[in-house]
Amino acid sequence: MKSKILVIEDNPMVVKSLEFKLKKDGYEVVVAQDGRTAMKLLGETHFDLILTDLMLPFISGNEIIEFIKTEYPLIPVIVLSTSTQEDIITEAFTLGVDDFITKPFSPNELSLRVKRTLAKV
Amino acid sequence: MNSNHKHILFVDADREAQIRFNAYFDRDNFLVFNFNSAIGAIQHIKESKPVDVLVIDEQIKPMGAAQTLHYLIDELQFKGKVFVCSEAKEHFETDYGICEVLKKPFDKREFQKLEALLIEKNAAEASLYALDYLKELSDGDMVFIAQSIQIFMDTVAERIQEMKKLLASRDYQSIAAVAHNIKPSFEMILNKRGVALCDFLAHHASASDFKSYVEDLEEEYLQVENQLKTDFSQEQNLS
Repeated sequence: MKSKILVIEDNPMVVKSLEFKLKKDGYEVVVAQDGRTAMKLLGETHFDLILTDLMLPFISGNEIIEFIKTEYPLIPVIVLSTSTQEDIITEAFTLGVDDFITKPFSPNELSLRVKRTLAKV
Repeated sequence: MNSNHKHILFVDADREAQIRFNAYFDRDNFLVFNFNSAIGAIQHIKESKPVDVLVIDEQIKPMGAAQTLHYLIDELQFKGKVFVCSEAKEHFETDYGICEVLKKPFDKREFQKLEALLIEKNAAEASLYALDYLKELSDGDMVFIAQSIQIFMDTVAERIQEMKKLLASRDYQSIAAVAHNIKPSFEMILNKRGVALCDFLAHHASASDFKSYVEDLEEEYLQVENQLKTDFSQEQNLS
């Protein structure tokens, strides 16, 4: 059975790229373009992994991470960030994220980190 | 052969003109192909070899520059830049428009005019965008690349308009957030100036900077959009 990944990201080009690459790697991908939609989807469906941006409309990435780690502590989280967000990334790690990938991501790095994180579950 | 070389087709039977031309352009960044008649140049273009600029003598045999250009444009869909070598004319008119003239006998200033055009072309090509990242990501899937470019044009244009509205209300924090959001779009098409402008707006701009930087970003975007539309409509990948 395909692993199901929730992508929380609001840049449509990044979403398109993530969807393309992850589907090519054999995963099922569901996209939420903001934190509210992500929270709703998490209540409706089981996900094996979450990839999330840190700067999102309505609810910040770290608020979502806090929510996920409280309500769904077994789902691993990989943060999508830009290299200029050092403080926010550090905070995300203190909230318990499993890994991070910088945007724009390297296709091979994305494949490797997703595979490695899912293998730990 | 270096792919950054500019390819010049020099079509002129005048031996002295060839020597002068080659002496100036036979160096880094330029590759000159000499032809004594229009037939050789037509054959070269027919074989789809790269041509950045065609320099052709007004009186070239067998049919002169005007008729040769008509043939190249009508039959071979030649779209490259053209200079016509002439002793008397300032401009050279064809049914397709006015070509620039290299005045004979050649002097350095005439060559510098051509060189400036080629350098400008090189700089523009180098800076506006590149598809290397999208190609790597998709293993060269042209459908994916065309769709991504369409998303770039649809979404970035809209967000820049949003920035302009936010300027009116002096909501600089929201402008910074939009810049942060669209920065990866410029990164993915390898447009360094767009990335730098977004980065500045997102993290370093003060209140007095925002207006001019948003204007610069819009200007950069419009140049990229224009180039993308030209390139992709030629490949019939985008509407």
